Amino acid sequence: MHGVKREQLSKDAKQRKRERDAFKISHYKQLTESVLASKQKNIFNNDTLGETSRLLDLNPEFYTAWNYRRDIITNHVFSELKDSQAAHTFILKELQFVGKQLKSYPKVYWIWNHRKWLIEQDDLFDLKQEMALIDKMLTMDSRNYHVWAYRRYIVGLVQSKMEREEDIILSNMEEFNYTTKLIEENISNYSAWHNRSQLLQKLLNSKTEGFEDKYSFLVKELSFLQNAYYTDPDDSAVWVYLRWLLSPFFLKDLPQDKRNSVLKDQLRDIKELNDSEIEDSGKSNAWCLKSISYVEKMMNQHV
Amino acid sequence: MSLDAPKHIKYFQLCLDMLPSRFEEEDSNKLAIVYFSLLGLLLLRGKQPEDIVSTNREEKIEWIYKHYLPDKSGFRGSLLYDLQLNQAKDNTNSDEYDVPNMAATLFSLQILHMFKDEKTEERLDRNRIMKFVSQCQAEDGSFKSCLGRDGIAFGDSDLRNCMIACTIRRILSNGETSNFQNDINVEKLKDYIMQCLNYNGGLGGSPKEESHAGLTFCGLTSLKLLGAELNPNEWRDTIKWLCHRQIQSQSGDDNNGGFNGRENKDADTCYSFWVIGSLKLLNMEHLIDQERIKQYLITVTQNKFMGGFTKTNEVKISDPLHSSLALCTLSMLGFPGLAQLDLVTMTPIN
Repeated sequence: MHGVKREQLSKDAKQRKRERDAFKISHYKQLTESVLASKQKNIFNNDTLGETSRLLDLNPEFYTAWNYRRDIITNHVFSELKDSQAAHTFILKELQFVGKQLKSYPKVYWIWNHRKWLIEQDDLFDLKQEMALIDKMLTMDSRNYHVWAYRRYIVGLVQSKMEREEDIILSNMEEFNYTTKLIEENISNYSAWHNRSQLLQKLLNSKTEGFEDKYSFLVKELSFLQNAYYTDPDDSAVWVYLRWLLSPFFLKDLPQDKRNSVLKDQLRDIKELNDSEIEDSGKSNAWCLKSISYVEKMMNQHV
Repeated sequence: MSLDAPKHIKYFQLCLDMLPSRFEEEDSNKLAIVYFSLLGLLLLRGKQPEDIVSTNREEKIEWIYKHYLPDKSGFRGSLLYDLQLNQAKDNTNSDEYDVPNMAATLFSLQILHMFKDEKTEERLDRNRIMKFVSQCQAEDGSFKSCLGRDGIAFGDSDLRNCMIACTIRRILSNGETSNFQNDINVEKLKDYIMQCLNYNGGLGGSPKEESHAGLTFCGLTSLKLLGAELNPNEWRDTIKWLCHRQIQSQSGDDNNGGFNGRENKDADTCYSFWVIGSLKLLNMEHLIDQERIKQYLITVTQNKFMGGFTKTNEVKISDPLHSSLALCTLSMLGFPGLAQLDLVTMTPIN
């Protein structure tokens, strides 16, 4: 899933968009004037809320309308509700509105801002629902920068409310396994590799099972990585990640003999891969050569 | 391999005069369109662009000032936000919803700078603008895009807004060391930027985010504007990561020679600028294959039919951002016939 466009529209959707455009042109100006006039008068009610929905459907970048909408929700909707449950029910509806917008405009910052704000207002927010939305959006575009940032935000928010260290570790573990799953589906998904790198630093710090010992973790992770570089030796994501695993960050804590054996094994495997590339295509693989030179440098260097 | 300058001039002119309804969504970002179109025109240097700037110059400058808010704190993105409801009221009391935003403020300052407006000193309240900018700085040192009604920074915070803050500060300080009544917290900002640096050498939009060439440019430019040295020896991983953004594929593949913004993504016109611009800040632009990126821009994304440049080989319609950034790239690579670019203020050098 490379190069997913900011706006991804099928033929049908394009036709529908054209029809919507005709509607937009006739109503947009009128609607804008009406919304701006009522906000000037501080009118906070269901009618003005509805008007901002219609305006934001037409122009999700209209930050004044988002700001006004938050004020309507705070000053009108929330003030009439009796408890957190009622607020939660309203927020669910509001999240649906935002969710629908994200489907058409998955890369508009203001929609994401509003979603975050809603989540922060909701004492009873439903983690499962948010994760389902995130998973779905990552299925549509596994590299969407906003969705990944939102995923880390939600996970961070949930973890900040956790009291037991074990629960935080478990949550990081689930996230780590999710990156394994995405990488197994598509090794070129560098966003997943990146998130993995963030998570494994946390897991190593917490000495979770499977992460207590840097050496055994490294051996396991390198074998996972090896599958990936054998699958597609031209894929830069994998080599960038390999270079990190073989950087002083990991190697400095290893005893000399283990450090040497890790590097020696890698050198052997990459050379073997390059030989088979030469056999197949008649020439060396550039990433193999770069990695060989890097590993050799690390072997001659004491950290 | 040639640049169709007359066609590009026509294209940018068209963007300034009238845009197709397709651009309706960008209504709230009108100043961005003006900025990129003007930048493109001035880079093309010839006789015509100068005419465009000088014809009805006063009128055009006045139009920009219409975006300046009555309380003098900053600029709004579009006249769409101006209600005209409070004109009768006291001028200092602006509408609490009609707020300035960081990007619009920078674009306005850059446009006025390009117009060589002599009145900025008296018409702009530089201390008031810097107060707005410093209020947009969040607790963690980063910047958000605007202020909420409560006067607290609100919106997305990442390296884009950090660069915007630094560039506004540079333009307002007018070459002198900054002496604002309300300045930003420089040390906190520098710390924030360095927290965005990843193990592969690239910078993400905020800490823990994936490395991204556009945001790497924002981070490096910010550091430069804050007075950092940017010694290439300290940025070796970054230089390496940036060089690897140039795509080497089979000849015949349209991506060949172009730049992507992240691992395993396709080439895109604007990343040639973000990457080469970053390398230039580090004095390392000679490390990339300059001939092949010129080839990519001129033969793959230059729009020979309507002028301007497209985002990728697949997009058929040009837009002002990709068009002017393509010219910025070519200018940095010394392509003949183009004016030089001042990288840190993102305006042409006369």
